[in-house]
Amino acid sequence: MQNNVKISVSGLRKDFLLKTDNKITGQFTALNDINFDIYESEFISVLGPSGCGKSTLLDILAGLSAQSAGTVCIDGEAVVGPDSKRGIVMQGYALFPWRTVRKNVEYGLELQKVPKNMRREISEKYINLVGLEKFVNYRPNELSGGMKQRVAIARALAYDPQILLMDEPFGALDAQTREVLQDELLNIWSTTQKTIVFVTHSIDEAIYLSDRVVVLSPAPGEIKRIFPINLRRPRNGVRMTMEYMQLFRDITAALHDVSVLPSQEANGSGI
Amino acid sequence: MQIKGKKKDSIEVIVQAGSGKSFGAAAYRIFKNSALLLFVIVLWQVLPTFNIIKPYLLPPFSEVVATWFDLMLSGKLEPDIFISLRRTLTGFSCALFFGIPIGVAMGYSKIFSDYVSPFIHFCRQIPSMALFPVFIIFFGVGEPSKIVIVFWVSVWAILLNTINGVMNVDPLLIKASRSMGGKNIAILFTVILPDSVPSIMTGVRLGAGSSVISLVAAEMLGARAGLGFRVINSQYNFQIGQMYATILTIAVIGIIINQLLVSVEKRLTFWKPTVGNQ
Repeated sequence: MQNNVKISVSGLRKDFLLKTDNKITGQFTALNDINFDIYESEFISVLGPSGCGKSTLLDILAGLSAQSAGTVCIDGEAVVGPDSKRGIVMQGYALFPWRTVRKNVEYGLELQKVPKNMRREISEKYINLVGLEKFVNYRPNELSGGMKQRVAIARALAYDPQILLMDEPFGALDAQTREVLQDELLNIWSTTQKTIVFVTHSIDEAIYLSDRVVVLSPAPGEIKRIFPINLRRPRNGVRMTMEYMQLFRDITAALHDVSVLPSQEANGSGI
Repeated sequence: MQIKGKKKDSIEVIVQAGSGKSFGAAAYRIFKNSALLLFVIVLWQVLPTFNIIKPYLLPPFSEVVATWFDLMLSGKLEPDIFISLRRTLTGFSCALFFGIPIGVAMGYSKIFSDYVSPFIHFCRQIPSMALFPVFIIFFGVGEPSKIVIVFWVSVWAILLNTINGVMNVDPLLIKASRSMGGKNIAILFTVILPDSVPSIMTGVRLGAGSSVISLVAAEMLGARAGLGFRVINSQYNFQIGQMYATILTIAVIGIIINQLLVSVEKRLTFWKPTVGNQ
């Protein structure tokens, strides 16, 4: 199932400068030496503990943040800023509260100056895809968390980006809604064949959804290991299988494997 | 077996919020809202009638209303109403046209704000009516000085609430727009301005209230026409009934303006959760 390389990350490094009173007092490296390729139509998860830089990585892939070193290429071209080839879905939904569901979904199309009747057709298609036909004229404050996230997904898909970047999108939902949306997302993915980069701190979610799982270490974020997930698709019921549990164990071990810091070595403490 | 002091089983009632739209519910609500006001009006009628308050100090309510109708129907009050409204509207519109764009610019650009903000905070704290003689000296006793003072008094609320609204725009919304390819201009018009509308409307409503108050005060201090002038003029000429009728008119105008703005505010800001309602 080896397709073309869609996203290529090479030598990626992101530093943040710490400023106090307008003076630069230090530097903090969020991501260090990130190298990996993402293939077309692949579903890849980026897994790591809080603060490991996975959201930063996603922002850089989206073109919302610039790297300090290294390259990010999409279809062979370097990323210079956000564009319509990528869509982002965030944990906080970020729906425009003054717009209806339909107008939220149409937002990206409005930015591209798509004419009104075409906008309506397209937005209807994606609203139906996420199952919210009956709620087109509702406003976000009238929707549940799961519904809001569906709108956010429809909005990100509406202008047909080839890549969907998702930053812990189901993190704010209760466990049952989360599972429902996971399955819905997999359906949408198999229908639309988008390339999906999915950031999460849930090992279960990463395994359940993805073709591969990239495990990041805590700051500075580096790739610890990339696990291929060879579980069968569709993934319904896979959580009970031996292969799943083996993967869960392996990935958990990789995630919690804390490397010894130089200061700890010197003190004699550590693992 | 009787337990001493224990009442019979009581039933706990869960009160559910109704829609409040039934006739009975609406009538009850209106009664609650107006009961105290009606009571005061009754006092206003009764106390002067029975000489508990001297009627030449405070005529009974019915007499004031009669005077009011008389003035309105004979057209004596109309010119004053028009003049006052015109002054208020002109000054207030200037405050809007000046305050909102500058407020947006200040909220948007930190550098602009760093330079302009301290001066604005300084000006804001000067008691506005103390500046009125300055405006009279510069602009004379005519229309411009009144309009300027209305502008001066109402612009601060508009300006500061606009700045606040722009600065508190949800950054996630800006990020979402940017991720879909939104450029700065698009973000300004499709994200920042709509998200600031509730704060701007608060400023508009507060500014409108201040503009009525300041106009009346200005007309009392230095005018030859207008409702504020009419109040002072009636007092000097001991036309007490006319004085109260004019005061009533001012009050009614202020209430109407405020209610109008409140309903506009409601229509424009229904989507924003009130504090504590997340």
